[in-house]
Amino acid sequence: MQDIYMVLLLAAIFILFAGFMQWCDRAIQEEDKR
Amino acid sequence: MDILQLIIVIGVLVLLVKPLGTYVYHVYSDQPNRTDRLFGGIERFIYKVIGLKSRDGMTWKKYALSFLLTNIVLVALSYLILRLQGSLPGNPNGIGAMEETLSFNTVISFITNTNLQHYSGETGLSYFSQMAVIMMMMFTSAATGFSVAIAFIRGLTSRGSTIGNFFTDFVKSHTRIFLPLATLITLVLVALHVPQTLQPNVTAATLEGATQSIAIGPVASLESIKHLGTNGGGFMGANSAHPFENPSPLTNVIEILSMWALPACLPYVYGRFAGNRKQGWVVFGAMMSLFLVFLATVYTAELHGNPVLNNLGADASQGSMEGKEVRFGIAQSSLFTAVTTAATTGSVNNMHDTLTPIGGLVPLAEMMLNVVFGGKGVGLVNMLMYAILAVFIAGLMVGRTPEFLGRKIEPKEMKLIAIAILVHPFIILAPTAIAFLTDLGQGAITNPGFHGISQVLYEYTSSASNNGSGFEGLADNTPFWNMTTGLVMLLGRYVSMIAMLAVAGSLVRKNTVPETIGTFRTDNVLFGGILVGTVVIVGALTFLPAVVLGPIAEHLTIR
Repeated sequence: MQDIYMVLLLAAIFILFAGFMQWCDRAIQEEDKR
Repeated sequence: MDILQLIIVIGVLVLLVKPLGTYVYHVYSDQPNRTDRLFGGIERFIYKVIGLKSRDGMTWKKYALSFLLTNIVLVALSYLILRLQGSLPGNPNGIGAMEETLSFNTVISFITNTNLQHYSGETGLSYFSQMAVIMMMMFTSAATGFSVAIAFIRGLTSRGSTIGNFFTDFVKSHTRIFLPLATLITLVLVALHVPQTLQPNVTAATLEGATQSIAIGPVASLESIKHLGTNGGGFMGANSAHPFENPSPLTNVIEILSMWALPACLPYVYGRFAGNRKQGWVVFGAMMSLFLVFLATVYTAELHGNPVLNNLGADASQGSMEGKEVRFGIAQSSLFTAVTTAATTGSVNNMHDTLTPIGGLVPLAEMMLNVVFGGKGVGLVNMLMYAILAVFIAGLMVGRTPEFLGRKIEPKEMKLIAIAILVHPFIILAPTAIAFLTDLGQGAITNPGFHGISQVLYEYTSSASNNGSGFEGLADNTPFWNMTTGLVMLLGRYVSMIAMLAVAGSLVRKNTVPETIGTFRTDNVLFGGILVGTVVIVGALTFLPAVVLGPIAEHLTIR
């Protein structure tokens, strides 16, 4: 059972990193529009 | 004699920078060169096997996504192997599966190039795991860091919308840099009596009639990439203090140079890409000047010994030899400590927990700054991040729009750089505070008083800077420490990498502005001084209060 928690936690963290990547991209594009 | 040893090793390092840097530049420059004939065939075969159809450049987002996805696959595969190692082949010593939270910590530790080890290699891993998980990730994490650094350099120095192709950079890092060099160093280490075998542990009878199990294994092949890739995780628990990992002063020098040479040559590579080698030498000079101050500090502190023992009448002529190997002495131990935390390798040939308080402050401070040569690739990226910050501050002071290598630095880049700079102290100081506030954290501290503060601070600093060394008195193989240090390692690696790739992606699309008499130059000694000043001021503002509570307070109590 604990294996599932560990794998889910790892997956969640990497999804967060992908979200951070999107945020960085949006931050750059918004400045460009301005 | 001590000083001569230090000068010779530093001299050899400086001599290696230009030839090695030239080679690395040609590997990634995409201009046809002689290495193509040697490695091109192997690379084309690998591209075919992995199904890489397009070798065109990628936008920063595609590059970042490619390295993230590659890392996710490696993490999943490695976690599976560690959990199943008890029933997999290549396990002559009959080692069982690794516990869940320890597996979580270990796969994160090695994919992030940290190599924080909450297990002992001899008893925690099968030979198959040592090779298929540990050594494999030592290559891939180093290649990832190198690839990201090169992509960042391309972003600063080229014009277009792409910063290279992650998969070709990643494959080239293996085929042209890490595999050839690791093979060469493995053979040298084997010739110098480092074991390389798949035989099980040797059982020996001691003089008292007891039996002793002596760990051996494929040590030399792990030892070479451990240092070349600034990884640092040892085959043995005692790491490079163990006579099978590091048997002599000669192997010690080889290990120091193999972990130091590639990070030290990257500023030169940056200068070549920028078309102005002075740019690279200024960055190298800033790194080396910081390093020499740290080396002098740790060497002097250890040479003068422990004041408490000196006052008791102990022979102080040898310096503080507690936790050190006699075959290395003060000079080679101090140099190893300074280099392993400058290049964020994290291997140790002496126990950092037993350094004098000021001696222990040096590795701690080097990891806090995280720019003194730095780990495989990321050290240069961090230093260039500070260079852009220095240009920005200088621009504010003279009222000019800041420019770096002819590109205007705008709020969007500074926003991302601020995140990358501030995440580092945050993920060190916040978990340290949490550890002090909870029983789970406090339970691991084995030294009461100020040294206990240093132990906890060191553990999270080492995790955040992806170093991996420790004040090993800390009893850190518990779910609390496995999970918290695992999260810190991930944040320390990926947040700054993604943010800096975004900066590269933003800068690569900008037109360069022509240089005028009013342009703030970044290729002279003045800028080198401003760069060092920026690093020291930001580092002091963020970490000085914590450092005062740890090693400095401890130093004042034992004077």
